[in-house]
Amino acid sequence: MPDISCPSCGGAVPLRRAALPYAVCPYCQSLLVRDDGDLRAVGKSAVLPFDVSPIVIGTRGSAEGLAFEVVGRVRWGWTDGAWNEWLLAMGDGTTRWLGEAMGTFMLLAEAPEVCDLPAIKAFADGGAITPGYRVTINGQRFRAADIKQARCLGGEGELPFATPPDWTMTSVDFRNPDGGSLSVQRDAHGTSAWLGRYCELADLKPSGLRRFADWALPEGLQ
Amino acid sequence: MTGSKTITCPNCGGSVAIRAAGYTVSVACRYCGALLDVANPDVHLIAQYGEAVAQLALPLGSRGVLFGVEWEVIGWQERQDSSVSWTEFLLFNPYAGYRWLVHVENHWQFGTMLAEAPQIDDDDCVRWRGETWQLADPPETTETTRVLGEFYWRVKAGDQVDAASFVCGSETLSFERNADEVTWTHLVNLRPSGIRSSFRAPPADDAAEPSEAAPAAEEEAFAEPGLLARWADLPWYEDADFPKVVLIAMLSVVLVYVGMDYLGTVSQSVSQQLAVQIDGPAVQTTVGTITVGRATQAVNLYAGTADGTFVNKWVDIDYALVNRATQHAIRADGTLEYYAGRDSDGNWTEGSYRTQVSVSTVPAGTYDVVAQAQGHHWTDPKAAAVATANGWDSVVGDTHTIWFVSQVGGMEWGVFWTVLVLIVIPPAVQIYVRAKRA
Repeated sequence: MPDISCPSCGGAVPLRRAALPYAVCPYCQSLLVRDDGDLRAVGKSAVLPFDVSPIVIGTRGSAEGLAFEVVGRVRWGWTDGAWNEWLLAMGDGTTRWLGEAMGTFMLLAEAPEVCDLPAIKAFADGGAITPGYRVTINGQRFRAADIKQARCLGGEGELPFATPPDWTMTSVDFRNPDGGSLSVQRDAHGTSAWLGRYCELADLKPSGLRRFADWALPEGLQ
Repeated sequence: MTGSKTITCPNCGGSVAIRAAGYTVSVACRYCGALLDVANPDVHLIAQYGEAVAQLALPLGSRGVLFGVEWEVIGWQERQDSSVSWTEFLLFNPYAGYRWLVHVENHWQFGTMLAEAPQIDDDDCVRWRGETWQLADPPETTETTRVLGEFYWRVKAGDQVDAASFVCGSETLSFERNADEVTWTHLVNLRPSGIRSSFRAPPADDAAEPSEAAPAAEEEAFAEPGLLARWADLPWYEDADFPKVVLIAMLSVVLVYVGMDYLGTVSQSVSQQLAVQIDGPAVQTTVGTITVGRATQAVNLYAGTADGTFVNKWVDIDYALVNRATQHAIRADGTLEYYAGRDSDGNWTEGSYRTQVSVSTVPAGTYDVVAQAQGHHWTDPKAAAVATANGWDSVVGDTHTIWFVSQVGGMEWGVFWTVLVLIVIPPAVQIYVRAKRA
């Protein structure tokens, strides 16, 4: 895929996925929207602070029997911490999100049907969720384990949405006894649900992970 | 690129390395102990401990290999509930995330946070990985009392959670809950000696280690319960125990001394003098009559001279303790000798003006102590080579006064020194082993 020049700074913006409408210029952090092959600057995305995530834009791997490439990232912060959501472009043209928090990973696909469940609908309508709150999906019982008020710290790469710095949401993570994961996110525009499971980095058979001079890449990840 | 970044402590201006940048929310400055908020680009002071960084069992920044993964110790917290206090080390690897090392007394556990939520059957047991875990410690408030290093949440002294634990065999599931988060941690036992040898101190400065440096070889850290426990893993073996061991050893020595001194009280002492001619005939005297009151008791026989001209001479002494009732004699012998001379190393002397013979178990009874002495001279062959004309003659025929003192009872110094050596051996072995380990 050819690089396109950033309309703001002229830098080459690598585009990996034609289908994604938003991109963040890696040089000037301009938030770019793509209209019919043209890029248009629509604002600024915050410079992401340094972190030691092993994943970078361009990391490849496989999940659910499909190869993927990491094409974008959104970083969320809450009062006492932060996490990453990495956008995976799958070999079949679909996307997944890889949530990364405190060194654990969850692989999630959008599950709009979950929003129709009464327990989630109540949350979507502004209800509160506390730890232990139960949801049953396809016979699997999930319990709320983590509830956070989060603010978008910025994005990079290509994304299906813009990442304005004033974007806030309520994020609830549910877990079940089998390692299943449900993430429900509510912001000013609505509520979305993401279903999947926790996984180890090695399970994704990753390649092109970030290298650190003072850390050896574990054998299973090379 | 290295995995750490550096911030400046707003409290003291020191450079503080953030080892888990992006995850770390709070970090304690290693210079002034201030707890800093690094969740946002502008670093804030959370709390000022004003205390020096504690002496930790595993230093912050040290690295070790556990279960095939290299871990760096980045955080430490001290926690307590109503009955016990313990410490927890936070381990980090950018490719593997976080783990915990929980340290209570000499007991270490390796903790992995669960991604899944165990099935709660009832209040007393949960199911996880096909096993039933029984409640061991009912929910109780657990409070963080001290914090050092980095954490992925804004931990501070005074933080409280409700914590419970469930056990299955030797493994533990720990449950913690606060207002907006529930976590489960799986804990397995480790052998303490494995931990200590696995973790190496960090490099002296903040400079990044080259990645070529092979991680420390992994000891078999996983603790096999039961027979395979090494002596180093026994509960009384602690790194902080050395002062205790020394104290116990010193107290033991003092106790033994006091005890032996009490038992060794001299109950009777007799003395006598005897003129002994060098190279003359053997002479004999009765030092005195002694009575052994206990069933058996030590008798110490001392002899010596105050005569400064007693040089390069020796006196053979034969003692006989003659029982007045049976006429049975207990015999012992000693030598009083003193030599001096000069060789290539300079002046030398050997021997002393005093000699002691101990007869350790003399049966009860009344004894005459008879001492027989015969004097001899010795000629230094080297001195003879540069012979002075009168070197030979001067010694022959000298007469020296020898004193004898015989005591019933008295300190058994030989026994005491033996006991002292035995008492000193364990701390000495400990020092050796630990020096080797370091």
